[in-house]
Amino acid sequence: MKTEAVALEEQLTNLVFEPPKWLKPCLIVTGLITIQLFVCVFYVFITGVGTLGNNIPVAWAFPITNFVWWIGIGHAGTFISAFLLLLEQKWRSSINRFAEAMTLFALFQAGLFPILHLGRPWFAYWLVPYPSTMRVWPQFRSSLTWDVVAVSTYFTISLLFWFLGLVPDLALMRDRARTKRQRIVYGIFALGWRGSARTWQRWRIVYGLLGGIATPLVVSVHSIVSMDFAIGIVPGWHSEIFPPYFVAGAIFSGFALVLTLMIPARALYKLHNVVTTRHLDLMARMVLVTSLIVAYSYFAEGLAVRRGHDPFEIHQLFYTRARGPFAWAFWTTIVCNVVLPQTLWLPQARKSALYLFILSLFIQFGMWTERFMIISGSLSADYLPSAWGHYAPSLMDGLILFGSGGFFLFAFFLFLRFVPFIPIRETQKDELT
Amino acid sequence: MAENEPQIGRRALLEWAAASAALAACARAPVRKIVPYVVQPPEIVPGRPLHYATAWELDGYGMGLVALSHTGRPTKIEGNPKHPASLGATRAIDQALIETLYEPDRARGVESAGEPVSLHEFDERVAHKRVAVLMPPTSSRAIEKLVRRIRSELPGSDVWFHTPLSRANVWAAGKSAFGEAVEPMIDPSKARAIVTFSSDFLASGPSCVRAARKLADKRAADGARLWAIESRRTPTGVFADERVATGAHDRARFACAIAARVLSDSSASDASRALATTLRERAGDVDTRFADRCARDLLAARGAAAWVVGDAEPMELHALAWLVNRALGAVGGPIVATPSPILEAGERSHDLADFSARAASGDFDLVVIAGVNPVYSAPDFDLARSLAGAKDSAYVGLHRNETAALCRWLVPLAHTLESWGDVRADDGTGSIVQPLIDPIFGGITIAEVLARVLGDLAPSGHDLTRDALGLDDGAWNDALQSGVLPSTSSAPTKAAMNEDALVGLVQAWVLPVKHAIEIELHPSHAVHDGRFATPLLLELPEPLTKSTWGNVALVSRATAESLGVGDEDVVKVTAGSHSIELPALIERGQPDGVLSIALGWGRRGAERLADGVGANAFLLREALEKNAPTAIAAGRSEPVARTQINIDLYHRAHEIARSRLKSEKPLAPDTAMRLSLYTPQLSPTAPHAWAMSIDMSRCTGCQACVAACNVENNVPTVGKAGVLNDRDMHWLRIDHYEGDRGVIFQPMLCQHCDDAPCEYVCPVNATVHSPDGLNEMVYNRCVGTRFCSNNCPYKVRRFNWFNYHEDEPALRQLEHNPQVTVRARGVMEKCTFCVQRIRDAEHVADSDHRALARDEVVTACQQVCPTQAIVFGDKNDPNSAVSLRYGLPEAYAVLDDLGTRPRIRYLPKVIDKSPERA
Amino acid sequence: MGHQLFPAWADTLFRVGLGTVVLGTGLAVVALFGWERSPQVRQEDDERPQPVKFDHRHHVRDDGIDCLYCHSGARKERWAGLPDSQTCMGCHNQIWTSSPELAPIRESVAKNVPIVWNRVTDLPDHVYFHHGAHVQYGLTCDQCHGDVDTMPRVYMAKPMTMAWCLQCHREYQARGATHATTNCTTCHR
Repeated sequence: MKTEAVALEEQLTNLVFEPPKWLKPCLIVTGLITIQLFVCVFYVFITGVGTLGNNIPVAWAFPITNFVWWIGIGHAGTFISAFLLLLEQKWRSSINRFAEAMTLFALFQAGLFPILHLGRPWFAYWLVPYPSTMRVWPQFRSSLTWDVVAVSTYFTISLLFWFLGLVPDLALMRDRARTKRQRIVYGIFALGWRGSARTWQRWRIVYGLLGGIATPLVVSVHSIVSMDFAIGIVPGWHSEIFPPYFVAGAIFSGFALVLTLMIPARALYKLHNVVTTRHLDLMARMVLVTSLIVAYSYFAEGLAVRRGHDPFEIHQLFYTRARGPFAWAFWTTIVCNVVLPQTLWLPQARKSALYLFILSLFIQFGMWTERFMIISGSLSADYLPSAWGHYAPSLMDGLILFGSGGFFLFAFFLFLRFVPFIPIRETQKDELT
Repeated sequence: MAENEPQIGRRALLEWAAASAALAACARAPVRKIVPYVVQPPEIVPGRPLHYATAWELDGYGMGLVALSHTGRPTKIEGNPKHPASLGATRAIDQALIETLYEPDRARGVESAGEPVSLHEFDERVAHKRVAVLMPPTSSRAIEKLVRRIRSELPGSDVWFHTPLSRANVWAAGKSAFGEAVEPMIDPSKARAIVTFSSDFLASGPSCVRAARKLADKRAADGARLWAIESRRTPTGVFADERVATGAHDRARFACAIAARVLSDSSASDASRALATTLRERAGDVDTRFADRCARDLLAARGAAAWVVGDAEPMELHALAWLVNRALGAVGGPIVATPSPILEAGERSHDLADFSARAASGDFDLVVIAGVNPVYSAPDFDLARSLAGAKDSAYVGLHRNETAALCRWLVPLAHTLESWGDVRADDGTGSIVQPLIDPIFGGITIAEVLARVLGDLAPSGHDLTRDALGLDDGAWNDALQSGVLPSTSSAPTKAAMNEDALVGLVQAWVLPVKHAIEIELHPSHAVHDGRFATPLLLELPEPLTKSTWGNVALVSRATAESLGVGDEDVVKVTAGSHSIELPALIERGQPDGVLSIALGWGRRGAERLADGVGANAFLLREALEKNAPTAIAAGRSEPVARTQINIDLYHRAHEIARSRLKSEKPLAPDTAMRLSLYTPQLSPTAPHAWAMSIDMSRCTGCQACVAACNVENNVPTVGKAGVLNDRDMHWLRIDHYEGDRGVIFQPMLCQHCDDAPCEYVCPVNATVHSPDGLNEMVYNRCVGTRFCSNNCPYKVRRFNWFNYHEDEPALRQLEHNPQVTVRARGVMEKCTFCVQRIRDAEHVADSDHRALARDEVVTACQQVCPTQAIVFGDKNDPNSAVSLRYGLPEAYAVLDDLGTRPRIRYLPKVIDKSPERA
Repeated sequence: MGHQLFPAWADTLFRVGLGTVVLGTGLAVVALFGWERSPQVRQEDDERPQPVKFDHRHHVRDDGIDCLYCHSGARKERWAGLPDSQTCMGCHNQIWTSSPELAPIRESVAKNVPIVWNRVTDLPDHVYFHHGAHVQYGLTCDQCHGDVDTMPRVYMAKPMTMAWCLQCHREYQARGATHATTNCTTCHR
């Protein structure tokens, strides 16, 4: 029994100490893409947001879509760590660090876009309340100021939560380190962890507390993000169901992303004993459930508008989206987020890693088009027909979205390279008890 | 500027560096300089602008102006209320004078064969030589005097006049009617029924401002029905109550049909009653019901009915107009036969063919072409040959344009705001042109050129003008101040109408041939005949199609299908040996088989912005007189930069653009209850409540307000690429809707909502509400989230996607209004109700320890509006102009249901269909 | 297990380090606020060098010349304005006619080239300040410009920040002066 624990320990620490050959090329490629991202961002900062495709009426487009999309994707991390922790779902332990890391890296990306798409990014700090020599304060009626608070809180908590969970394993890495350098580095981050019963007991308390703090964030953050639109009067934005609708969508896409990342890693690192088919099955169920909530939201929105008899909203939903210039986005959304996930009623589908991987990619795409349709589609045709316009993304829009994907993967590969990405201690505990 | 493609310039980098430095809060502002006068002129007070009454002439017809000058720098043009052609308003092209003055591409010095030389050398070249001068038509007394002297003193020299858009047909008809070149002056205030034959007399031409104003007033008072028979839809045509779209042939037959009905009426003379039968035959089978209704309407309004014909229409139609107007008792009433103010109107000296022949003959030492561009606008007159024939050639003009390129000498022409001179309005009223600034590039006026020909080597425009006008000091100064020479308007012609001559003309009339494809060429509403190539006008939307930066071929849907083209597909139009290619636009109300193309585009001169923009339709003009044109699809398409694409109302007429027939009962006021969670932001203590009223029945869509707003508020232009990407910056736009009762023009600008949706979404308080009811936009606080624009249901907010004013030529920067911030990149902007004018007026009132006078504050759009469709003022004052309209039961707010409580209320468009139709 | 990777005091070091980082950032932020408000950065007390050694002490305090004599715009106009060279000569062609200090002015008038002064009070271009509006309501020059009559070379003397403007406007409003408005277009347009 002891040996079994040791074996697992060996297996999981070696993942880091003996990195597979494919990792380095991945790091290089994604690293280059990251550089490309920052070149583009710098260019936009210097030249102006005019380099993006935005216009009047479509003043928000790719950047904000990307922002909402990345934020949403992050949610699964917190959900898995916090919710499932409180619900004492043991199976979470083998995937939670993955999910949490994912959350952090997604938030890096998300944080970039709102600043990037400002007209004068160098004054972004004006959204933060501080006593200025202008004696002017931010306006708290605007949901954008709420965003600043919500997102920064979310980031801080996620970071702490992730790091705290990491400490015991960092200590383990320190102890099993092969070289002096590794020992020192891991040693520093291990904060002198001894693993005494007393430390463990305190650790559990703090971890539980943080979980408790993080839980409401799962709901609050994306609710507030959804209010960036819901408080507006734009037909297609001004809708009461947005908060739950967006949160469900967030968790939906989040779980999909966990699958997207987990399944290849599982295969490449041969983790079938740690991330079992049962894990996949459970996550697939989560995807199915959230997909149903999302589907209901679409239906409810349509119903409300139809009953509401507001000609502008009816035009927005049933012409601009369903039949008009944004029809492609609308139907992609329906197919990817509503139709395809229904296949998960079948156990075979839920247990097939390959199928889940492909499906999860569709879901990512579907969630992106959903946000794009809601944000840009609604703006492209609101009240005065004279002001209706078209939107076409610029090269920069594409490069920056692509780059942010690369940056995300780059961070993620670094994580795989240096951090024990399967919680060793907890897995031991859960596996062996 | 059109040139706004992103460049990471030195300035951008510095800006960025400065910005980051500022973030680190350790930037030390550089010490700036302040330079007082050596001897301060008594009239100049820094910070307080001066107004000068002046005028300018376009093809000889004067327009009275009041120019605004900031410490010696003209920045804005207004109309002169005392001037008959202006009545205080202007056209869009008048507003552009400021831009043409500070045009960076202006000719910068005297050149000979490309080498800079001194003006003196040119003087030597012209003095006492045999000189042929070609210049625009003029009404200047000073020039008249000089021309007479040249004719008498220098038999070897001669002067000709040319303009691309001539009124030769009008004058010819006038000559045969009265023996002299008279012009039919329309006074709509005396008319109850007017019929126009493709005459855009409300939106273009020398008297459009006055005509539009008087017609609008007359309509509002006791109504005047306007009938339009025209090709493409003009502002006048859509302003009309009844309109029929025809090609030239059918239009002529309509004219015959209506004339026949009027002339066969008992009260007409025998000769004309005889003519009626001929006309009836010619009329053939045109829409007789329309003709009946129109004729009946005209006859019913006998004595107050007028018949107006467009300049480009056949001379016989103008002749017929005199007969009909006479039969209707219009002459002396709504139509006045006024001798043309133009020098030698309708005489040989206005014939370009004559000039080019003589110039080519080689009788002259020097051919001087001043201020006209025939190489561009009359390509078929082989000017190259004429100029080659001449021993020497000089071009006097603002730019090195197509004609200048063929001349040896280039002499900069003084801009009208740099010149002394005199002009006469269409009704003969004289005005003095006084300079606001010394010639920036040492230009000289045409009068000074003529004086040089006469050997006066140091002529002064001022003296030439004073001599010609012969006024004593008092009268001179009064005229300078008021801007008009008192009692100089010309009396109606004494001559009796020679009816027989006219009948003869009309009898001999061969109606225009009907071609399968017909080309209708018309002046561009924006760039006129191409001489105004400034950013403002290049980007000024055409009233109906809203197209900018180039011309298009307007076609009806049926014609488009037969040609196999759709919107923005390029058509190749050929006449004779010439052909041009330009994108087609499918236009409603366009007669089948007729392609309407604007002149004035496709320039190839020194004006960089206009270079190669659009196609030069002048190429076709001469050829069209002999050849039947053809049009084929070129098989490619070219995007048309339009500021508005959607013109349908999608059943939202009631919320957005209301209209009704005059015969219908007035629309009921909105009585919906307004509930708001917010307490109204308006402080009850505020002394004023600024508000605006816009009467859509008065709006002709002439775009003057758009131009004035741009100049007043330093609004940048974004170029064709910008417009194509929906980034046009106009604070005020004129929306064009196809209402179920006809076209509606709706000036749309910031509505200054009491509960403004833009305000509560701004995270940094950059747009807030003032106690006196303004929706304030604070550029220097804006960080550019653009949420306000998203949340604005009227979409009137504009965003600086780039630093549009960056790298602006130094000369251009002079045109900016110093009272308005020049916005940098990344900030939102929008209509401010001309807050700079409001605050200035308040400051002045404060300084004089008095309250603001009633209607003292006037916005730029209101001031320039020919028909006073826009009225602005204090809603708290029950007797202010705005209150009188704002409170009308029919006044409504756009998208009122949203509860935004706008400070602008619109009056519905009222259309006066003839009884049979209504 | 065997020897220690870190000495015993490592924890203390770590805790102290953590403390300093947290405190340090806090202090840095506070420092920034201070810096932004410091007269040094606002260039309040910089005495600007000027082409002419003009001494307000002498003209205002000793000779009792009214500010408006030279800055005549201040009473009614937007800008107080600087006197043209002619105004200086108005007196100085009578007195100190040969003073070397005044050479630049004599030259300016003779050659008709203006004198280029260095701005002392320089508001940003997006601020539309109106002197007349303030003087009309009884503000005295020194309320914003300090005791110029004691300055050998003029300096700014007041922060001239927006907060500083607002403070005064709000005080006046509190005293019921409706004209001391604080809405944005009072100064920005």
